[in-house]
Amino acid sequence: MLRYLLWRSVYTVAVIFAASLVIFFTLRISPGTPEFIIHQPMAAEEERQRFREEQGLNDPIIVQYGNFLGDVFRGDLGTSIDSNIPVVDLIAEFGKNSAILVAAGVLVTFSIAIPLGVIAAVKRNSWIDQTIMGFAALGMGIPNFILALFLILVIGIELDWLPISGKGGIKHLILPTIVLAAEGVAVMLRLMRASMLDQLQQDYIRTLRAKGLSRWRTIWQHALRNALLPIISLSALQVAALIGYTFVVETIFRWPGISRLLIESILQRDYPVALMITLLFTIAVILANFVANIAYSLVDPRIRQETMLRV
Amino acid sequence: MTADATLLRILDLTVDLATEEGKVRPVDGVSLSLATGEILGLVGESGCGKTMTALAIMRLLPEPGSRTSGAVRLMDRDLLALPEADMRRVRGPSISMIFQEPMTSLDPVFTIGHQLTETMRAHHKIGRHEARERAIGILERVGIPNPAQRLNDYPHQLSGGMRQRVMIAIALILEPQLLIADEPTTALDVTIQAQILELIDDLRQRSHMSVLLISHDLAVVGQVAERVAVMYAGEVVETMPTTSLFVAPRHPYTQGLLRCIPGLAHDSGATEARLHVIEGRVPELRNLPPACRFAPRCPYAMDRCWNERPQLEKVADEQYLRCWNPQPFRA
Amino acid sequence: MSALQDAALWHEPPAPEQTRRHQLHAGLRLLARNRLALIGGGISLVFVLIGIAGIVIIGFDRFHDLYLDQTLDSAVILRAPFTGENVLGTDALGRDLLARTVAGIGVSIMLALAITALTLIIGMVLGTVAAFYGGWIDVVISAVIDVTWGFPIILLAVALSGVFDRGIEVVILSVPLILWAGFARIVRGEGLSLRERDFVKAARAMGVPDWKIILRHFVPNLVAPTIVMGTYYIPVVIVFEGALSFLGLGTQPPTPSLGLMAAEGRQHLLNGDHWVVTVPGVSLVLMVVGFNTLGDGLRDILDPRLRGVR
Repeated sequence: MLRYLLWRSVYTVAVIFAASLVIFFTLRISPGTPEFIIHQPMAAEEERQRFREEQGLNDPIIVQYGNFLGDVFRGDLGTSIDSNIPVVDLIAEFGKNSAILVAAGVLVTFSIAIPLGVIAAVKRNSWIDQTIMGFAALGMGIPNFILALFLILVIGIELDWLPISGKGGIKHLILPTIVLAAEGVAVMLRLMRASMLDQLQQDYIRTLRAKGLSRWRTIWQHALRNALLPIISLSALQVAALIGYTFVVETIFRWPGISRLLIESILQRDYPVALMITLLFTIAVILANFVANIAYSLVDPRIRQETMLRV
Repeated sequence: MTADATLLRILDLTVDLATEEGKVRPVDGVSLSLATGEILGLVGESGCGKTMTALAIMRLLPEPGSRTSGAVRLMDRDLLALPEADMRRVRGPSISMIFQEPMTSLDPVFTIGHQLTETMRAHHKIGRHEARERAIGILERVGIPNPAQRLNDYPHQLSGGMRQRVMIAIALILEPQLLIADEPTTALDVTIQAQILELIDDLRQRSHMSVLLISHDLAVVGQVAERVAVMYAGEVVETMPTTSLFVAPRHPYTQGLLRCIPGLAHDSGATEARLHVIEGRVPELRNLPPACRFAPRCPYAMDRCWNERPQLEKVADEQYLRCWNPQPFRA
Repeated sequence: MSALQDAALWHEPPAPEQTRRHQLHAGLRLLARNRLALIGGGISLVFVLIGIAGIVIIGFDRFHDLYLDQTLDSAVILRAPFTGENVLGTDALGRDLLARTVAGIGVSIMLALAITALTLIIGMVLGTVAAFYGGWIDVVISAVIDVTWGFPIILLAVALSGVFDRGIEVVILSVPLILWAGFARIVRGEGLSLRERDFVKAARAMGVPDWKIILRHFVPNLVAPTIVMGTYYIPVVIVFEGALSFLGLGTQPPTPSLGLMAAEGRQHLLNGDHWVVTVPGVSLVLMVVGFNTLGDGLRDILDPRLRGVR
């Protein structure tokens, strides 16, 4: 198990490095490199040259990458060209807001999807199942930006129940969280139902019933625990998807989060900010995968042993 | 055996199942009884309704989609009429069951110890420590070495034979009056088969438990059962004491099954060493023969077998037969 | 011993009504499954036809319904549905909403089909190569699949908008770059299991070239997953194009795009002029639900194993 953990960690770090390399080079070759933004195309050649020298843009690109890595490890994430604020501070401030949103989204997704998926499986083909699955189909069918607009229109404007933009108390969090979680709930619920149906047909369920365990325990303790195993590895995908949805949600609800900051910095060609946030998101996705893999092997005793033997 | 020693009495048990292809009746009017401390063997080819009968007794048939009628009396209670909550309390302390797939019949993500102790705790108020002690005790009784350590093992860490022993331990830990063993040895290799059968027989004698032993293998049943009931296509076709089984079976199907046993043909002095097979195959439940269900495969079938339904009738002491044209047995 | 003294009791034959009801049930369930595909297919077909009409409209936009303002001199530019000559009303610039929605559907469908095709081709080629050439090629491709699968497309698209200019190219590039991995995974799995089959082993042992094995035995196995995954990817692309355009990073004005139209309409929600959002929004939802339903139905019919994969 320890060796498996180690191997996974090394793999993950390697992937993060590879990703950082790709991101760095891709953003570096972009046509609108920073000096064109700061300095009008008309700017004097000397001035531009001085800027390039200052930013180290004249070095070979591999040296630039090396410098960049060195800076990052020293804790220097650069400074925003646009606002002159250190990127660390920007990320800390906007990141906190996004973290709140994502955490609420994850919480809502799993606490709704798992019980509903179990209920749908247990009551399969009944009206309860069909209602739940109908909502799931709706949740998958309605693109989240459309859902957001509908919610803004109906709940925010017509009924005037909840605020529709900005950050504030819990109330401000409700609509963004609903939109953020909607598709995830639908997807996870379907997966949960399928996984649960699979488990309910297993032989061990019959054994549990034969020894007089109640239906409740059979379902919510034994079948659920088994059914969650395949879900755990897929939950990393769900976290990644959630990160993707924050772009839409933060934009629509004008939530001062890091995704919106990324879009703005990209549009402003605020290269240091864009680079760091892109990198941060990528690392988050890769780490989510890492955690899911580890969690999966920790929870399933069979895998736990297998990985101990193999690695 | 006296009537009041009867533990289980099944009367006209009928199971209807709704399948994708339509409705079928895998168990059709089965009546059996089982005395306290007795082992009854229930024999037949796969698909003849043995397992369905067992699941119907336990009320564990798939729901919705199944309908059970008749009566299953355990002592003086009709299990089919019990509310589900009461039936749950019957499963385990009164009747328990072991299944034929030891590899998949245990929950893979819980330890052996948990699966044993939760059985006790589902029915009795019992402390963690005491439950553990009893779990170790029962594992010892079913012949598992180092029981205290095994408690922390997961099912995948045990061999098939060990898992089946664990299954038996789980089934026996509440000291049930009746154990239903559905092909308990089929998935195991021969030496372990014998051990498991011995174990069941031994435990039965010590705790005065009754056993309904389900198997497709007459040899297995012959080893431990006191009486044998033979099922074919959802019906009981013959029932007799095991002592008669190998000398005086009357139903052509029972005789056919006996000739399928490799060693037996030689023992009884048969000249042809070739292994016998019963021609044809078990009829589909959706398409049963009109009268005697064995008629299409029966070498002795007469007109009457095609037109008139045979009933189970007494032919000898403790021997009942469903046949219009019973044959004397030549092995 | 009285084991069977009660045996052989007569029992009633099954009630025929019950039997029939059960058969009816089973039949209905089968039909319901097919009906899913039928309804979804119907909706999808309607939208494909509308899409074709939309492309035609874009091609023949001589009347400037789509791009230019018809009624600059009119006092009320934004018109509600069913109030004037524009059936579904107009947007803030006085452009006919029906025409723009139809054209937007055209853009969506066209992009979705092209991008889906591209995704499937990449996934199929890389998945096949990984399965049949094995070794380090497989290791590399599998690692890339591992990292790519599930990566948020929108993040890639946003980053790519820094490289390219905002626009349709970003959509066309970012979707296949991520989505191929899911399909490649399925293709590779199919390939690996096929390679273990005896007849394939025998063929390889006899020196039959791989491309022949792939063509004869492998490609036919891929038809079902290709169709099923294809119908899944189409709505994914449609939604994604809408979302990216909504963010201002996808299709650029004045090209009609449902996402863009929804974004432009957002500010009018406050005045109660909701149709600028609802008309393109509802169209998008219907289109996506249609393709999703078709996908579910096809999966049930063609390949139940793909359940839960996406």
